[in-house]
Amino acid sequence: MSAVLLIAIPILAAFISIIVKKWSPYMLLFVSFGLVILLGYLPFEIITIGGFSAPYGISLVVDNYSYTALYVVNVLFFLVAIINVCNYKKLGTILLVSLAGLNGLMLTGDLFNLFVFLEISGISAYIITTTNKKPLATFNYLVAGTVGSILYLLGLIILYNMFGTLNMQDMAVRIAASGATDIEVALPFLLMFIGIGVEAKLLPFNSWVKGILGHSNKLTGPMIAGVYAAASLFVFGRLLTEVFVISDTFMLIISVILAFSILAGEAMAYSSTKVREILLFSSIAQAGIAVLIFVSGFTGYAVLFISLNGFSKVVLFLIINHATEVVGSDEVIDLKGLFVNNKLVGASFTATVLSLLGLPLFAGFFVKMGILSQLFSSGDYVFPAIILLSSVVEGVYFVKLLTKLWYKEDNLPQVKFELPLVYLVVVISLLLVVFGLYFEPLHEQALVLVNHVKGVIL
Amino acid sequence: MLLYAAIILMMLGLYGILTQRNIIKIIISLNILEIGLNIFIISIGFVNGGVAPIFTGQNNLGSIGFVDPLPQALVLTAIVIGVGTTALGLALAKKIYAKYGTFEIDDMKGAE
Amino acid sequence: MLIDIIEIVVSVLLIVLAFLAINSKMLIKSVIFLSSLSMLSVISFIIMQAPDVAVTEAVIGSGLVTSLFVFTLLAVRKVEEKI
Repeated sequence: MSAVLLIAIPILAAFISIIVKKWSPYMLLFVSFGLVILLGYLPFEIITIGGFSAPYGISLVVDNYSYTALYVVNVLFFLVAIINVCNYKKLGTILLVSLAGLNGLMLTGDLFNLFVFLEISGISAYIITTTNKKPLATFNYLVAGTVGSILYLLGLIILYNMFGTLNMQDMAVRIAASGATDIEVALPFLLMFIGIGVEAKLLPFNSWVKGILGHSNKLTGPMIAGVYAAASLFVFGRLLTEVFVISDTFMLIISVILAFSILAGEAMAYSSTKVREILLFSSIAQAGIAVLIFVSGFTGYAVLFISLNGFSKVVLFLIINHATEVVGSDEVIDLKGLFVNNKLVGASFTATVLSLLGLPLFAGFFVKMGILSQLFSSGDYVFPAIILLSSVVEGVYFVKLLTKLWYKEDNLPQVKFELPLVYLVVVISLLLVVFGLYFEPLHEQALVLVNHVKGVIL
Repeated sequence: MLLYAAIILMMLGLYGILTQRNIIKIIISLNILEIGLNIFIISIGFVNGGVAPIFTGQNNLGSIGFVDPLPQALVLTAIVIGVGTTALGLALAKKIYAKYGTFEIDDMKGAE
Repeated sequence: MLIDIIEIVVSVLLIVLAFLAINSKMLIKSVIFLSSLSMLSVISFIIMQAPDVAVTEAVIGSGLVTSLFVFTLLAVRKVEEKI
């Protein structure tokens, strides 16, 4: 079992599904389930494509970090696919291509190859979002994403001109050996930061998010806010731990951007009256927090944070988007009392939200505690303050939302949830509770990943 | 000289994306940005007095300097990806026209 | 040197054409300017010793993209005539 198959199988299946259109949904399910199974047999290695050794050829890296990331992305993708495969049969081919792109993003150890996979997954994301029936919003997403990836390529080329390599590890070694000051590396790094920041929904670059996720359906909401967000944040982590490690003046600039992103996201979510907008603004803030943890150097906790966040966002968006499709509006007032008749779904929604907030008994608590204690012990008091403040604001609006959704009154919205969706949602939220009580495996995984930093200190 | 022209082209493309309010014009600006980037990448790999990086009977002796072939390979990929994005953007533009009856973003009613 | 003069001319033309493509009033004119800009970039690729890129850009960038733009504008015009 070689890691190349993770990219090759979905692409091949996508080609076959063009020829035999009827098979595409089944093929999607089969392939995405098969990849989750195959991941168990993946050895840790560095694969060189075409027999050229690392700095000259393209290399795919399977280590602890990319293995965790692959598992999270593939499982999330399979869950989203299995819920939606009956409703969007035409999208089978595109979803297969996007699966290949996402796996490539996680695996690749080459900066230009990263750009290619960024574009593949990006273009399939644009096509997936056309199911929202809002072409203008999709167009805005396309322009933002394309400009972002062009800026990424520009930064990449400047780095190539300076150091003469495209391989991530080789780049890190050469930057360290050349003794370049952080001012020289600042411009290409910032360009690449913007390029991936567009996909990861960081604040100045995310004007597209409201149009896409504010009108999302059962497919696009979990896909963009869950799977794609997790994938792009994992890429961020790869760059920030393997190639660049930020410090000093640079740290100040980046952390101001991130703090602004977090606080503005929470403030917008607080003032919003639509459920989907509350969720999307809170996911902007969460993306900011994840990058902030990566920047501070606690890779393990950041990975856990992103994974939990991805699973939680899939659950929340699935429930809310299903209810919105039935009711026809996503105002909080229209959805008042949604969970009175659907107690099981409501309970798992509540559990997921509480885990997202980081209350004890849920998995999110352990992760947030770990992050805060690590930050405090490293003598930093600004980041914990930002994270705590954001948690407080988050708590206020989520509790407000929950009380509205559980409120009992006469004319309740008539929403029926299908059985697969209920099963999925209940299982994920139960897992969140189980891992909240029994967090040893998470802790071990975090400790394995904590010492992952190999890059250069800018 | 072409290096500076490429940088100015990229700036013009960004200016177009930011100021134009017409869907087709925005896609055209994206294309200009891409062409500028392609020329920039090629000019990064250009060596003064170098020849095209193709092995032939005359120049495989190692005495002649080649220009850097790697940026050229990158540009080939970037061109193809750019065409894919442009085609998708134009398809969306057609959809937008069918829905709102205009290409001007300001004239579209009911769009946020 | 002749090649230097050609380089300067091509650079200036590239910028002028880009400006025209962005700022002209008619969409079809913009598309034509974009096409000629793409053609000029082919010349610049040849100056910089990248013949394979030049061929690809001439076929795809100048030919295919222009025809895509023109077909989109034509399809839109058909919709207009029906209304």
